[in-house]
Amino acid sequence: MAWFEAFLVKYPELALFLVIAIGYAIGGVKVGGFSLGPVTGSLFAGILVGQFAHVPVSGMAKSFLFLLFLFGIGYSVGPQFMQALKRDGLKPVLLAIVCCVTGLLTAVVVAKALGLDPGFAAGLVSGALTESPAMGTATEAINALPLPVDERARLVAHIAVADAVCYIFGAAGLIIFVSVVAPKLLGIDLPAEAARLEQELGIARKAPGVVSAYRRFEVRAYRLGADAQAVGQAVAALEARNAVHRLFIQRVRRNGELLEAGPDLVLAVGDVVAVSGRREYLVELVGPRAEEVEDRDILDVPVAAVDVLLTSRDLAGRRLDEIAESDFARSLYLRGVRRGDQDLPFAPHLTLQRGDLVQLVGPEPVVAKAASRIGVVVAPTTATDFVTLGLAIFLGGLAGVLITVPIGDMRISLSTSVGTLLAGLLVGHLRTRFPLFGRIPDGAVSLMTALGLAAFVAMTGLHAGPIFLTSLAEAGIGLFFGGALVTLMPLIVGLYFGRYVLRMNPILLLGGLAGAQTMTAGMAAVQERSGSPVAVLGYTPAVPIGHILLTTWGTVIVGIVS
Amino acid sequence: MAAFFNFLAANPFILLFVTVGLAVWLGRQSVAGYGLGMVAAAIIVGCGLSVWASVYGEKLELNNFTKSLFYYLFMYGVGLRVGPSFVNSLGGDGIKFTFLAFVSCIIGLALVVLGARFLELPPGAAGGMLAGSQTMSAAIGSAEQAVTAGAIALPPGSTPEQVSAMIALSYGITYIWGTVGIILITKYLPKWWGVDARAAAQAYEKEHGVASGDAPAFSGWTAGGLRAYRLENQAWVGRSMHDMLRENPEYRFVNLVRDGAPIGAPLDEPLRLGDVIALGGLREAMTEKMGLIGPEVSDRTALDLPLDRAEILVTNGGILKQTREQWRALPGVDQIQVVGLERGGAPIPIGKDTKLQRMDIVTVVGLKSAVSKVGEAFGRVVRPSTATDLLTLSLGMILGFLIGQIEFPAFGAKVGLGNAGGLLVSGVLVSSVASRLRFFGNTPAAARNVLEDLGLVVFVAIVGINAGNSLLAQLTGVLALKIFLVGFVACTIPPIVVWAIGFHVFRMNPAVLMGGVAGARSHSGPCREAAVEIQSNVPWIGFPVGYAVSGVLLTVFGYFAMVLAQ
Repeated sequence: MAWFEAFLVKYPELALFLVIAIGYAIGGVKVGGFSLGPVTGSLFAGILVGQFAHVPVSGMAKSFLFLLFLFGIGYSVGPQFMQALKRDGLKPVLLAIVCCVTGLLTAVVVAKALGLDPGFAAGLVSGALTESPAMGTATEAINALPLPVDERARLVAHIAVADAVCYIFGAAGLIIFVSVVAPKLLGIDLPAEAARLEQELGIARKAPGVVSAYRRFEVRAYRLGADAQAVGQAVAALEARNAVHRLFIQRVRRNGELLEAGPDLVLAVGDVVAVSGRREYLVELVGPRAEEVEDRDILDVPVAAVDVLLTSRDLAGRRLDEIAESDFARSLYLRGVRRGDQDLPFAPHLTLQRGDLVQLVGPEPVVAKAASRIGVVVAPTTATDFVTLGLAIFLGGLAGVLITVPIGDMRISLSTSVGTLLAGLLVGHLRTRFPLFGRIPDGAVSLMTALGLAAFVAMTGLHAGPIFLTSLAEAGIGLFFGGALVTLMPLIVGLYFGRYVLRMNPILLLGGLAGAQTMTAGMAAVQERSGSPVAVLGYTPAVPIGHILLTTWGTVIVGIVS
Repeated sequence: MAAFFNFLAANPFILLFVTVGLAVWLGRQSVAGYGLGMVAAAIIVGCGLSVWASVYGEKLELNNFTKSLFYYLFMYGVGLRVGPSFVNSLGGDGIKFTFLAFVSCIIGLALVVLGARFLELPPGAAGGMLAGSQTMSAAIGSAEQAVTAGAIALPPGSTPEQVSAMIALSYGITYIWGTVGIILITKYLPKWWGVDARAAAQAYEKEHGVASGDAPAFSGWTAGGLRAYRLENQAWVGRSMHDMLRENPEYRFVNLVRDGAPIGAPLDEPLRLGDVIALGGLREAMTEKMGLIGPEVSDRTALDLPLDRAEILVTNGGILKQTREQWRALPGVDQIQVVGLERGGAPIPIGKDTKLQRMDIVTVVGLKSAVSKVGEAFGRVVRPSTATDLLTLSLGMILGFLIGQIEFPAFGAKVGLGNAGGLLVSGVLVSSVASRLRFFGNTPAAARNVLEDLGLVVFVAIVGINAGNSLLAQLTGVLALKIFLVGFVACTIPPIVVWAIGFHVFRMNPAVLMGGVAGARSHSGPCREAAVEIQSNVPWIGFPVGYAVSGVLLTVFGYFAMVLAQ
């Protein structure tokens, strides 16, 4: 195995991907209908590989990928966040307070029962509740104790040992609790519950590849019989007569030749005409009066469907029915109008505003011309806006460090991770207002979140793995079980408090529990199992409170136990 | 400002994000059509921040783990991108690209060696300049091998350590122009020759059918259609849809609306007068038997159904032996429509007597449950997804590292693809297999772009930030200037020669040749920039062969440069 260890240490990147691969493999194995899922799987795989080799993964890469993940989940729920916050934003906050206080009380009881010294007790809090900054505050508090230097150094070392012992269950136990045990205790089906919540919040989820079979607009080909009314009429006159219905003639086939339908072209018996229009008008008005034919060539008009952001000053403030009469609107159809994050029901008297997203469909040249009159085309893209991504995470991280909450004589910062999450929410929210700002395609968000999280969790495992056994030997097995109790107690109390006192939506409750103990991977596991990102809506209001309280506990526990 | 840089030094990952953001922004700016591109911008922004921070006494440094991790992701992403087209384009032009790679590497080596001898540079400079000006960091290793193996005689009074330091120093000095220069040169070669590479790329795409990745326009004509009819034909009253479909097998039955309420697609339900029946089928079938049921109606309830579009990979050999009649009896068959067939990566037109084979990919549209049922009978259903298959990604990365471990002894050094080259190869392998089998390794274009763009820009940003620290100290003195000049020439001349040969002698398509120039220098950055510049994937077609060849050559040449320059 020595060569294997040397190999992993020489190529830490390889070790990382090995851990992710093993994590996905064991996360997918089902035993009696229960599977760990990739998040827990990667954590365990990391710990496992960590037993063979002390892989030198860098904390910086871990943080970088973690922030990428946080930004991604913030971005994907940004549009719904304000709404969810308005609806029940205070509940996750209350939940977080209850969980954190329970955690502290349990830790105090465990510390007294096991007779832990302040160092072990502080490590118990930071590890079991997975809040590493608490180690920092506890170290400060211990160094302020009236003890000899040697004794203080010994206690400070104990913090790290206890943290290492309790951290693994603190992470894995929480992930399994919120994603597997808690749904069973609540008696709910995660995917169904998430789907219901999505519906309540008005999230329309589009599965790729699934489309409605209904086509609002169609092009059909008809042969003009001898008795057709259209015979002998010019195209322009015909279209003018049906102006209300907006039926347009695209092309004409006469004696086998294709003709473009100019306004002056006069139709004759035997012509095949390609007519575009709304389906119901074609079926009800044209269908009964003309014989439909299959003619691929005449129908093979290149059609484009684009979303255009209205920026033109001429068109803003005008009504749809006025615009429909303009020249450029000939054979142009409107699929919908979006303003902000809402679809407007469109009626002829609807007045357009700048910033509206106008959804057009029609023959390609017509759409292109109209789009240039209206504003900027918002085309689907596979490119990610790295400028917004990079600068938003930077500013979010900066804000997270600069915004501090004074507690006693300490200032506790919001942390870069909370700042980044908020930056993601903000960019995601702004995107609905400004469709061209900060565009990140779904596939890219999904990669950033999945890879970011898997790599983060795997590296956490790789970090914790090598020191776990030695620490356990030093601190004793009792501490491990004590830590498990400290991890689980606040979750159980919080679960029933949230369910019966706060009456929270179960998905938001589970997200909130993960937030209260600042374990993002737990929230991600709920997302994964519910097949929906909504759990983050419960997580986000809770996590800043969790960070602040748990960090403070580092000082408090040292004070109480010593 | 000092506090700001202090913050960045303490939170290096935040520093990285701000560098990436600024670099992409700066790279987008252009003056008279000449822009830097994000890669060159990342080096400049990285160096700039680093030098600025050093004014305040802060040393910005990012670790190598992150650097190589993102570089490897980038290389793998490139492999994924080129994979399918690389396999299809093998043969024919491969020899030409190999030749161009040889030309580029040999000229680069000759210039470095001549420069080192002519300017009497100290030992070690030649190896470092080769590695830097040709941006092949693996050549540092082979150059050092020349020292440790005793292949060069050390001048009296100098130690092997000094020579190694000189290698690193010359690498650092020449590397920046080595990257920036090749990117700018590749990007503007067509302009200098008065060629419109964008048009050439479009012509190539048209001829060879390479997708440009633009949003597709669709046609007013569609192969299949879905229409609703009200039952007025007395002949069908009381009979079931099952009977109707047996007699008219060209139709698919998707929905039945009775009294305004949709009741799904029950095959055995007796029909009543006034029922609205939604039928699907090929468009010509829809217009053929008018009046079979009754008049067409525009009933949104009947037609507003979610339709699933999926690909089925045919793996079940048993079912291929069955007859069409037996297939028709499969549950769900009446509710799906076959719209496409792909065999061996090429679309096949579907006729009445088209025979299915194993590993065919059949595209179907229909009700979701029916698609699943039929798909399972024939093989595996593959639905489009925005999720990236991370398991395959990880396994592919591992495979790449293993390929990179394969080494051959040559000239006292060991020559292999190295990790980066191995990852490129495994990316090619995985994506060409996945493009044929579909059911694993899904990586949406958007996700692959993140791997590539973020991977490269993060890598380069870290190189820039780390180089910035020692940059000022290095660039003083005549020696540094000489090294820089030799590196400048050795970087600038070869791509121009390669372009001239490729354009005038081989008469290659300029867009492909841009990739060939980048490949001959074993550097993917310029190819990426070229692809962005002309908005086409065509340059990547010319890239991989040259890349592999020159990667091996340049690694070996690190050794040669040391030996020949003494």
